[in-house]
Amino acid sequence: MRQPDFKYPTVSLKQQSALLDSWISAAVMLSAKHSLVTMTYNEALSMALSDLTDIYESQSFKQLQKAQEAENQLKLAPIERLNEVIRGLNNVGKALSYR
Amino acid sequence: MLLIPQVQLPHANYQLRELTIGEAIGLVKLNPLAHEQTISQFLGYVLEDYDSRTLTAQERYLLVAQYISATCLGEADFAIGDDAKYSDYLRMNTPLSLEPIDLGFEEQWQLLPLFGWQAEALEDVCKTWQDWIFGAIAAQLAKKDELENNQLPTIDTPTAEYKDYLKERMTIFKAYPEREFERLYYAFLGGMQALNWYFDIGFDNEGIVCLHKEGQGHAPARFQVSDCLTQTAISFA
Repeated sequence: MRQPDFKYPTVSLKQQSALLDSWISAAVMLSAKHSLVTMTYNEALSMALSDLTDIYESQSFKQLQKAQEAENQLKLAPIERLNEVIRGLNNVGKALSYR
Repeated sequence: MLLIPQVQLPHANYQLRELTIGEAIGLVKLNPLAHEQTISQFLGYVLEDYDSRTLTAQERYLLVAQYISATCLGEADFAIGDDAKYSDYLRMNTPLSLEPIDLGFEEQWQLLPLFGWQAEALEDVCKTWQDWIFGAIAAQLAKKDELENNQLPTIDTPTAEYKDYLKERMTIFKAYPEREFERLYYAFLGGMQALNWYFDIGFDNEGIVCLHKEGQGHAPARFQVSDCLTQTAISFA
């Protein structure tokens, strides 16, 4: 009896957990409260694997992502400005206290 | 959802559908070394109208390979290792026949195909490639009178009982005088040539492998369920 020439590699535990994490993260992202695609976690789990890829690679999804980023920046802009004002006031306070 | 072309064979048509995220999560949590049990679970999800445990080991490998071929990112004749392709392993010239093959000998040994439910049980019993060879012989050889009198285990036999049956037979074959076993082993290998539809199967320490058409000197392939999953993860990343 002759032993086969080669042992075919199997998926490592590290790869296994990376795969698991990537799908769970994707399902969570799709079902998150402020997600671009509105669905429940169970609905996300029932999606075909290629649908997941299609959604993430689609132009409309990328545009939605950009639009959401822009909206977030608009929301953040007044807060940023307020932060600047607070920093300025602090500096004024410090300058006055040195006198 | 990807539409996977029907696998049309002379004896049956098999329709596969794509895995869902939830099913992929379930599969990736299984023991990565339990290849046959994972294949049963995988085909339980994607194969419509059939219980994959009733199919032969070769049919199951063909369905896994066809799924990889239909869902992989590159060519349908996907690469295996550095210098081989799927078609280097595939043999579509022999139609499936489930008829036993008479190997002769005093016991009138009959060689039967290896089915999914048997491969699953072998996976629990066998730890080395030598075990797998003895296990396959134990699972696939039957005396003519056992066959005629329906004394062989079936898919409905409880798994624990079937595993005891395999262990008992393996012990008997291991105790054969070397020369006698050698004759039986070569008859078994000869008979297997006739049963090797779609893939020429062999064994390593982890179980069944598919041999390259050109034989020795080329790496055997194992069509794993994990190959159906990593392709998608790569494209998603």
